[in-house]
Amino acid sequence: MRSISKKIILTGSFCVGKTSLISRFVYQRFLLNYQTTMGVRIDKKTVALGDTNLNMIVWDIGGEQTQVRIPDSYYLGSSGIIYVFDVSRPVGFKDIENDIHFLRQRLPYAPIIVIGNKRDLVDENHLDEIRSLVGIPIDFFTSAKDGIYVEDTFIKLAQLLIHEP
Amino acid sequence: MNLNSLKSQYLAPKAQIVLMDEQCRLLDSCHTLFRLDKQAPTALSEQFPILESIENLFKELNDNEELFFPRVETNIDTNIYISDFTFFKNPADKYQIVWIIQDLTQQYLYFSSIQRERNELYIRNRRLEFQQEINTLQTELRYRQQIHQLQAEQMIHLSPLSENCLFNFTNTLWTLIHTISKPEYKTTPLKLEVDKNIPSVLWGNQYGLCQILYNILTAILCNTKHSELHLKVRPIQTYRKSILSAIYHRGYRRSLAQL
Repeated sequence: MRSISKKIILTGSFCVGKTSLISRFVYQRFLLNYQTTMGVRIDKKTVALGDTNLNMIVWDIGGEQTQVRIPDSYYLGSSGIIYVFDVSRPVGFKDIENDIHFLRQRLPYAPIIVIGNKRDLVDENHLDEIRSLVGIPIDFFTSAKDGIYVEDTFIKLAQLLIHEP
Repeated sequence: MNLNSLKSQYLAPKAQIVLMDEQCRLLDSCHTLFRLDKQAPTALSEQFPILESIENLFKELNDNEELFFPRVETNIDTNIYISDFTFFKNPADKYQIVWIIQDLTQQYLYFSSIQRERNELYIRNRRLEFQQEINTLQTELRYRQQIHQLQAEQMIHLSPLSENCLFNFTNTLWTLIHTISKPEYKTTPLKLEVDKNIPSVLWGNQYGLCQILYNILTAILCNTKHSELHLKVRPIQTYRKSILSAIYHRGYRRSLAQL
């Protein structure tokens, strides 16, 4: 069984639940209190996919108002990106497209998974509306609190990473 | 006590220097912040995922280049450190990597509480702005609904008169002009001129007349931006008897017949 390591960055505006997603994915727990990430927190989880053990080294980057403010060095050597936004905060929707554009320029070959977190805070009927408001494809609507689609998000990125050339 | 010794006394306890090879195997450490085991069989990258993820960058590092990662949160022996990490090649041995860990936990934890407040305030303000936008839109929507309701009420008011009846022609036209000329509807001035030979009271389909004029006038107004619109009403045929008198006579005859 081959074993590979990939650096993944988890990014997005502040208070969208990035640290909670990591906490759910790596430690299967949810923290109720809002914890600010000052810079970056790095966690690791190994995912078995077929004949490959993928060590996902996830850089949970402290949220900023825009991606431009994040130190350049955090992007170095990144193989994949998970971009998180908060579905219960429509005020942030208009920033998403610019952020994704910035990330694509920064890391042109890294696959990007876009997720709307905190789906437990909105009516299920509004998800399609949110999808149309955001204007770019959304891979999953997740809930770190309930664990909905959290695993799927990371697995989808892992699959993209092990099949990349 | 000279400056260098003061610097050593006050700054040294906050920094640790680790020496390792390009595969992240520990060569030496000053152990100031935490102890690293030189005899450990595994590389430091097993203990520090950050090293595993940037290990490939060390090989590409130029002699005078530094990799700087600010505010890295690390858990070591149940302690949380927030430190600035700097990596560079050892000037004395290019196959060795120097890792400087500058512990700024105290300062960053202080800033963390400020940042949390700042973030929450920012979100509250943005929510407030958004709510204000929604309120403005709702007010505009209510206003538009009121206009539509007003127009609908006028139509409802007119609809019982959809059959032929006696109606005040001039008043009806003025009401129509007034409705169409409302500032919120259209700004182009609309003027009415009714020939004095047209009787003020007519027999006919008041609703139908209003509907036709309304459609024509609004269509014209939509394409009129910078001019006035004059509506002139003139008779095209002169009757010997006015319609009103004809009705009177018919009604009178009917009354006689019933007697």
